[in-house]
Amino acid sequence: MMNRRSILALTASTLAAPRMARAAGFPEGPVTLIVAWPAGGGSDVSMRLVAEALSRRLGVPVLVENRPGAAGTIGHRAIATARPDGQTIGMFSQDAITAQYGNANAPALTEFVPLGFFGEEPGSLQVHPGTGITTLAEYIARAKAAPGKLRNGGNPAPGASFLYMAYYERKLDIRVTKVAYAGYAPTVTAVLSGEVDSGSVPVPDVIEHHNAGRLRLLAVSGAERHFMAPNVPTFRELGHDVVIGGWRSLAAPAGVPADRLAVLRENLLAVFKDTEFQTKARHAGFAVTPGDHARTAAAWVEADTSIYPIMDELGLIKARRKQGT
Amino acid sequence: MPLESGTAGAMEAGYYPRLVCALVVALGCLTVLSGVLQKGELPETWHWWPLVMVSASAVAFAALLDMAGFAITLFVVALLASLAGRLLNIWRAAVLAGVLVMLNIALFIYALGLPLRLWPRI
Amino acid sequence: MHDLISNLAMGFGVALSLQNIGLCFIGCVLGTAIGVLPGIGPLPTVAMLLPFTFALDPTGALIMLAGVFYGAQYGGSTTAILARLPGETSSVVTCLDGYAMALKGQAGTALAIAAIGSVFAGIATTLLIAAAGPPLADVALLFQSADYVAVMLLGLVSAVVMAHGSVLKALLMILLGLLLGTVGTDVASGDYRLTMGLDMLADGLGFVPISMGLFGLAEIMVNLETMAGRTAIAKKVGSLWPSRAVLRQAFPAMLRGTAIGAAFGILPGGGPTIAAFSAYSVEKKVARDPSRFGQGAVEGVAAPEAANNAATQSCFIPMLCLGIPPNALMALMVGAMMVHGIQPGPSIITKQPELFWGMIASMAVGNIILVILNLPLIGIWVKLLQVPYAYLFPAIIVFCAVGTYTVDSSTGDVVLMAIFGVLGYVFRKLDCEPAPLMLGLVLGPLLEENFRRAMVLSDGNAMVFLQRPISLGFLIVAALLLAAVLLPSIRRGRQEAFRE
Repeated sequence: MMNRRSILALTASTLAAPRMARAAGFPEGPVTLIVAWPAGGGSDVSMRLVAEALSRRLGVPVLVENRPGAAGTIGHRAIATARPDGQTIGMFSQDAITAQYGNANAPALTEFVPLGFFGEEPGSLQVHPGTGITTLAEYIARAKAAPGKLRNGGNPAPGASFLYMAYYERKLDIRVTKVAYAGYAPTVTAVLSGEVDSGSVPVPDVIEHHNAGRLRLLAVSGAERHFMAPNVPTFRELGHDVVIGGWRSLAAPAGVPADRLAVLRENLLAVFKDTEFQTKARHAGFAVTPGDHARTAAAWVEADTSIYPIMDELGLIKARRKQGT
Repeated sequence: MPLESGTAGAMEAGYYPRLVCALVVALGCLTVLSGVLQKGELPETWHWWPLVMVSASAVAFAALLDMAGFAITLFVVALLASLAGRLLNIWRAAVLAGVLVMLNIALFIYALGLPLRLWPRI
Repeated sequence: MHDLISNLAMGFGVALSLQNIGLCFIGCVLGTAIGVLPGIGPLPTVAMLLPFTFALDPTGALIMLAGVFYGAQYGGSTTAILARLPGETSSVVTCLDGYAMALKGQAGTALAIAAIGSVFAGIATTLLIAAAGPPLADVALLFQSADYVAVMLLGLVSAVVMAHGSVLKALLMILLGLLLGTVGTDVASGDYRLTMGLDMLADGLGFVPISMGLFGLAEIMVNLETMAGRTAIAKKVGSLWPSRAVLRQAFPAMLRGTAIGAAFGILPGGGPTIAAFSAYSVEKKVARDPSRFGQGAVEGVAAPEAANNAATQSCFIPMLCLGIPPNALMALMVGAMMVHGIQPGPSIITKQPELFWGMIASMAVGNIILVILNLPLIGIWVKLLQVPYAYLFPAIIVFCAVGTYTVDSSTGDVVLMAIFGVLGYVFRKLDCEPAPLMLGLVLGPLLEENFRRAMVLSDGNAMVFLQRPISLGFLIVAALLLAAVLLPSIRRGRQEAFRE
């Protein structure tokens, strides 16, 4: 039961923020944030941070709902088919883009509208110390000397770390055997045990092992060095034009009324720009690069155009084949 | 579209299921053979009523939940379930169903806060 | 030794602060509660709790979340013993003799033995982590895909040992489980397999709907046909506290179970499950009269419960000491640490000793809290069994349906449960035990994944399983065990054939 004083306080706070977009009766009750990945992974952790900050801004609970399964398809479809009233939003990463070509059951890009851009997470290349490889150049030389002999651990196709390695192979003109592991944790274990020679998982998952000398980070495929590994060079610094990584954004199902979209977009952007939020995210290993919905849409289109040819070349297009390819 | 088997060094999706299937068939044949050779007891008789009613109550849960909401669905499920035993008359079963609905609402919706819709969507 | 004592003293200093005891208590209570409920497992619970821990300091938060994990293992055996509902994989084994004991009116003893076995294993394993955590963690790195294949084969063979009755049927049930385990998305290629075009099968057949159907619903169907107003479960409850003779009988089983559990828990994948199955079959092998098993042998409850709790505890070893999570639960713990700004990894022991030793000490504290919490609860649980079956079984059915639904908010899973209920009834009529099937179902995907990977890594050379010493060792043990089960039954079969 809301007493008079809290109603007054609420009115005061809405008056104090006159430039914020408003929509009558929105949000009404808790907002659900669907994450298509299991609890505890990077996506889950990052979205829980977002949910916490967003619920403080919106004044209603924002509940993270994990709907993992079928390489994200189940969760992505749950977002796309939710009632378009703005009460349900979800995380949207490049996996949602690859899924639409790999799986006829996955929702198409057109079934979502962009809300905001959380940040990027570049790929990286790391090796088991027992390989004796200490630099990227040595790795390339070893791979060229015996194509397919080096084994690299990563996601099953077309998961993120699989695509990173496929892209490295293409750009560096090398060939390695790609071994599939069900997630980053088992991949890292395999690199540590030396079952595979190298791995292509992002920096936050391996940085502690790198610092402990149990594996060696060779290069990061970001535009800049990773803040957690300032001593590891980028591919570009080493003379290779390789920039590939993942990103996380938020999306709503297509058809949400414009005034509600505006509320969600403005509040999300404000969350991302908040320095306290950024510090928290950084501690958890995420570099937040706030972006509005236009930036998000651009990232979607960019990924769509760059990933499609890689998938096509690897024979991974199983649905929604583009005309003329 | 049949699944590819691939080779032992590069197995495709169909390799392992076929391997297991072959083993099932082989052992199945052995079982049939031993069943023919050895004399055993016939399986006990079947009772259809509990079999049908218990599964019907579970299926009813799945069929009704999205449409009728948590409360009504559970009532139907509990009613069907209690009739499976033929131990209670319909009135007692209805009272039991009512009590179970309340207990489950208290546990799953209030105590655990699960996002379940209580009543039908109007 | 001196280091160990001073480190543990520091750990207990952290764990015994008033705030941390309170948090540990909350975690244990929550864990017990969700362990009892089928469906809601520790994974979603910790995920839900995570935001509330933002306000706490990291050590307190992790102590509470860890409490949920091992608390859930305590609760898990309750429904298995009372109603033959295994809410999680490792309690499938507890069902066998635990429920048989309940039918004989010894539910209280079974629950008490389960709790005592768990606390014993929990504290023993905690000491093991404290004394030898880091070197043990490195053991996990010795194992490669081929070795996991051998470990899992050993686990599957142990399910043959534990089955009473026909060896052939047990083998077939395992294979059926393996086959059901292939349903879903192929890990390597992403192809949908045997999904019949159904999206809900894209992730394979879930454990909860199948075990609720095969065990819970089938049991009700069988009970309802034999009784007209009779109760399935003995009315007399017997004494709640196990007699000294029973304890003496159960203690060696707990010891063996703890050792087996602690060893398997360190390994990624099906650790606690394989541990529980192996511990049970070891008991059956060393017992003077193996025919008691399945009829309510107290060792059949003590050993798997100890094994499963020891494994739950020892899977913290690679997570805490190396930052390698051996299963999804530990991956979530890693996630929780990251949310709190702690990077899990080998440096955690030196950089954050209070956190490391505080968590270890809190596990000992938590186990004591759990046993204090659970022993009085037994009286209440046993009272539930005195409710007339006519009222009890509809409640169990509703509970199964809602519990199964809550796992993934999927009504399809509830239909799946109904289908497997019917199948479970058919299996009962044909004298086929469902437990080996469950093990096959759980281990199947892991077995395939590691088998395929081992073959990729060896370029298709199957000899790799014999070349790696670890793998060879496990395979030899598995072969010996299988021979030990097969030979007598073949001989018996021949004798019967001659008698004809």
